[in-house]
Amino acid sequence: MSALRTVFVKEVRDNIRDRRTVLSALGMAVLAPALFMGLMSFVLETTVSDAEKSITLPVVGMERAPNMMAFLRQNNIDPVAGPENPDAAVSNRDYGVVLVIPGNFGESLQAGMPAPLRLIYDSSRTKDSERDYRRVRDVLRAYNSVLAGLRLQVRGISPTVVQPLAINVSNVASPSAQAISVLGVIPYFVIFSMFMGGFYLAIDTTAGEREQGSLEPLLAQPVARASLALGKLLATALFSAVTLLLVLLAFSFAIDLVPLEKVGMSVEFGLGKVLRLFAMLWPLSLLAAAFMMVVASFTKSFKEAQTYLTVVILVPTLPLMLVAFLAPEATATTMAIPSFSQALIITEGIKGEWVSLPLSLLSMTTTLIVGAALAFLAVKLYQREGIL
Amino acid sequence: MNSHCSLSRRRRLAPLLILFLLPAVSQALDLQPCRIFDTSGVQSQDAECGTLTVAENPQRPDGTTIDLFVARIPARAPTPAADPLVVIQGGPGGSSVELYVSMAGAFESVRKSRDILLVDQRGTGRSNALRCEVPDEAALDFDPELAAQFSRECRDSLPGNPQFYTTSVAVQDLEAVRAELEYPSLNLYGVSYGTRVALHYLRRFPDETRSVIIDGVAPPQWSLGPDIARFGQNTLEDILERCAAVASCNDRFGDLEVKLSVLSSRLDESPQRVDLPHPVTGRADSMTLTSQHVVMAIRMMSYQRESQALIPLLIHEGYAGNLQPLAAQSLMVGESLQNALAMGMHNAVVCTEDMPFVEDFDDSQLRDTYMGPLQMASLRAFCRDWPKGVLDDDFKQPLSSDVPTLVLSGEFDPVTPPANGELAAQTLSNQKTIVAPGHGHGVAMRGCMPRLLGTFVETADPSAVDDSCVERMGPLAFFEGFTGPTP
Amino acid sequence: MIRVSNVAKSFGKVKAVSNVSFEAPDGAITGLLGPNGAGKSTTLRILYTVLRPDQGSASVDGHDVVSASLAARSATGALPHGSGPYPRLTARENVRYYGQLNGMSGAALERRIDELADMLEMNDFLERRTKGFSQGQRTKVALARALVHSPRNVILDEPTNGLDVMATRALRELIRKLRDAGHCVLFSSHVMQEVAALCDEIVIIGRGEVVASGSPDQLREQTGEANLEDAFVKAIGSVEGLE
Repeated sequence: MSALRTVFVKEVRDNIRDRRTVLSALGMAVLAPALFMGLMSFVLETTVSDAEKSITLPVVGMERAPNMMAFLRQNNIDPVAGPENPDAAVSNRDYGVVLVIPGNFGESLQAGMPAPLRLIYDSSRTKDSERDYRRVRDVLRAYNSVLAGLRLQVRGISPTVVQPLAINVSNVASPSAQAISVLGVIPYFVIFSMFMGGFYLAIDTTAGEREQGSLEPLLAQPVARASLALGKLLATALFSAVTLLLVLLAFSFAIDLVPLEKVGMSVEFGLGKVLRLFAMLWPLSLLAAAFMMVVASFTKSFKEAQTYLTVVILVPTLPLMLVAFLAPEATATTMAIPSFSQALIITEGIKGEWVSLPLSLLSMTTTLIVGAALAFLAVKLYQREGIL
Repeated sequence: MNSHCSLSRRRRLAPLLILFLLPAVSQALDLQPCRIFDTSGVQSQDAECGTLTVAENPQRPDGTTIDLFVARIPARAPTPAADPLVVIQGGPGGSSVELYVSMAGAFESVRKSRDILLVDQRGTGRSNALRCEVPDEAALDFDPELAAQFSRECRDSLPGNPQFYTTSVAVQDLEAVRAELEYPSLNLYGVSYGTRVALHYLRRFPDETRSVIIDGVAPPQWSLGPDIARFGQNTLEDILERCAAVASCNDRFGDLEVKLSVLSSRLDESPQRVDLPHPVTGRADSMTLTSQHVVMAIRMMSYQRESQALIPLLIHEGYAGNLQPLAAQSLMVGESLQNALAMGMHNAVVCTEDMPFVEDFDDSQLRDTYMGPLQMASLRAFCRDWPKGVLDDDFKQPLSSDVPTLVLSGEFDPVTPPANGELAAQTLSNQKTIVAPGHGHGVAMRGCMPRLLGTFVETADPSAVDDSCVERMGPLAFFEGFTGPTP
Repeated sequence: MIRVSNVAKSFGKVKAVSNVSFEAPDGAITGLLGPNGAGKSTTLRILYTVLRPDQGSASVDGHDVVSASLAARSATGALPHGSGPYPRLTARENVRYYGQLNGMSGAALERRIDELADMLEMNDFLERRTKGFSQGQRTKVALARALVHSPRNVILDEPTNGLDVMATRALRELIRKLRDAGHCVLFSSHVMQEVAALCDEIVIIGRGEVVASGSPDQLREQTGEANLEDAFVKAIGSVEGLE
């Protein structure tokens, strides 16, 4: 026992001094949430237009529709004189969107015929063209509706006549649950980070030791190989668990910075939730450490271990991308699968609709069992002669 | 059985008695998932609903009870603010629950962080509505004898004593709901008559009021009555002046005031039968158009900026002999007014809180308004045989308060113009007044107002509301023909 | 005292050691001499228990390396070929780790480390992280690790590999000192001159077998060569792999 402690303490102290390990753990903990937040914010900012921010709209033939221009202005769109060649201007990126009012507009409008307008935009430029085009189009449609309704009313026809259907919508998903469509990749990031946190340790304590010549003299010490293996395993698991905690904390900060209200969503991810998630997820760090140690045991050098581990880590983590889109349910089957069940716990936790205690315990138990089995295998591998 | 025995028996029974009392004491307001609807029953929304039983007469808690219908729309945030926004409808006689469903967009910004709380005021909606079948709203407004008869029949058919259905009693209901739901305080939004309710709640329960928004203001010291015709006339003059100020409108329509006057006289002399397809069903219909119908149509169309855009054209066409558009408007107006208000509650309020205070007004002063003195006469007739209800002593006093208040008015509101807002604001030391240019009665849903409501309720700080966006609001151009305004 | 008896070890088809027997007594320096691939390292590895013999047996101070491997390791200080210290730990921390693994701790352990530092002249770099150490410094650290628990038996696999002249001389001095102090020192080498200079007993290994053994005088007699190096060459049968 004391040998295990000695090994554990030495591995922790040694690897804290490793810049690569610390950067990997901290890097993941900080990088993942920052990346995520940055990406989400960017997407929301560029695609969801703020209807209350005014935009300028070049209009060719402004003078042909002063009252329509007044309506645009009332709706935060400021018309300005348009260019001579509007199509070229939009192609050349001089403007994002241009409205062209042809000469027969006024005549048609007053004659009660559909009055032609032309909107020019560039659909390949989402932020600078398409977004504004949709804004202008929506305001023009609103003007169309106002005029249409009043035209009917003044003719003595109730506008309800042309609204045969009133479609009322009920969305049973809570605002937090709706947010999952945007936040669904968080479990992937969290679990991937957990693996990365212990990545370099798993390599260092097997292939790394072999490569730098410190393995053989270590094996010649009067210490059971199982103690050596377990000490290293536990150190790896510790780093993985600490990374897990850091990532959860970082996400809890980062989520507040994403403008979810723009799409009517909101999420609570405070310290209480962080701790509760950690309490249910930590068994996975044991499994991750054992898994990586087992794989690294088979490799002959640091580089080889790095290559193999990078690929092998995809196995438990890549399927988690699907969790975001498939919204699987937490059942006795899904909650018995390590890594997948943890992803579900995170997803449901973010929604505030926690997976039931029995199922959470099932996840923790099966993960610990698989982790223990892998740990057993790692120890057995360490006891082979081939470890050298 | 000796007294010793019975005493100890009573002691043993006492705890059991408490168990029996508990259900009566906690008339727990149990909110369950439900669906709420607007007045037409067309638009609906998910909510939580329940009823709170209260005494009809607050002085007699053991007497007749009525059930108040309460609905709540939960905030979007997982942990909402402690105080909700209460939305209070006008009329008087309208349902606050139905109002919310038709204007939920105005409060989306507030709903991000706060619950929305709706109480159908006693006598309206699903809170023991004091309804009376109204035969012809338009006729009622201009026929005092008909009005008096309707009023009596209404009074005698009500499922409750109208004396207890006034504002002074209603605010106590709101307070009871607040206490029952354990909200520490309330934010209030009132529109039209609802502003009177909000301000009176503020007067009675200032410590429980966190913020107030009054939209289309009815200040306590102001009474409904003659101003219907006077303010209505001001708005019509505004409309006609604005048309005259635009060259094409002026050229097209000429002197519309004269034209309306001529048209009204003609119809007074001989009401016209107009054959027209029914505005909704399309079936062949007909009506006898009187000047009162025209007046009612213009009056109702003055309420909103969109329908204001049609008034010059309709007057012009009517004058030119094309009465069908006016007749159709009259039919549409009549349909929408029909049973929108619980007239029993309407009269309970108006006959207690308004008419008694304008009794001495000389109706002949209203002859120069397009509505004339008839409308006032009908109002008096409504209240002639109507029992006056509960009225707090300080009810008509100007209200002084430092609770944060947002005072909203539409520039061309025909019934509660900006001057009303100014009157109320005079005694409110922590307020901000916003006038929406070009708009009519009730502006909370318009332009950038929803966002400003959100900011105001969030901060409870009038100075934090940046109303520069309001400058963009404005009227719609007048229809100069049946296809619309000039381009 | 180290005893090896008919030990054989194969790796797959390759027979690294086919039949090796010898004894390394206490208070003597025993050298394993042979060309590369002769089976020297394999034999040593069996002795410090990181490999198990397919046949035969070996013991250190009477502890069988298979059935009493923990006790055997406690009695042994090993310096495997290519031993490297942990680069992010200081020299002292490296030695302390091994001391702790051998059940030492506290002030006593630190005193022992100081002792070793004096003995091996490590004081200049004792508190430095071992990353970037010269081969000589690395060997000293490895030696200190091997000796921290004062084992009676010291096994060194090609210890002078990569060392410069000064370091080699110092190492040889140390080995002699250890022998004089009563330790059983067993080391392997493919350098004839080194073995000739140091060893009291020599075991010559070729192609997995002991081809000759004994003191330098005995070997000269056995092979009939006046020169010890000639005797070596004769015993092994070729010059290949020897220096």
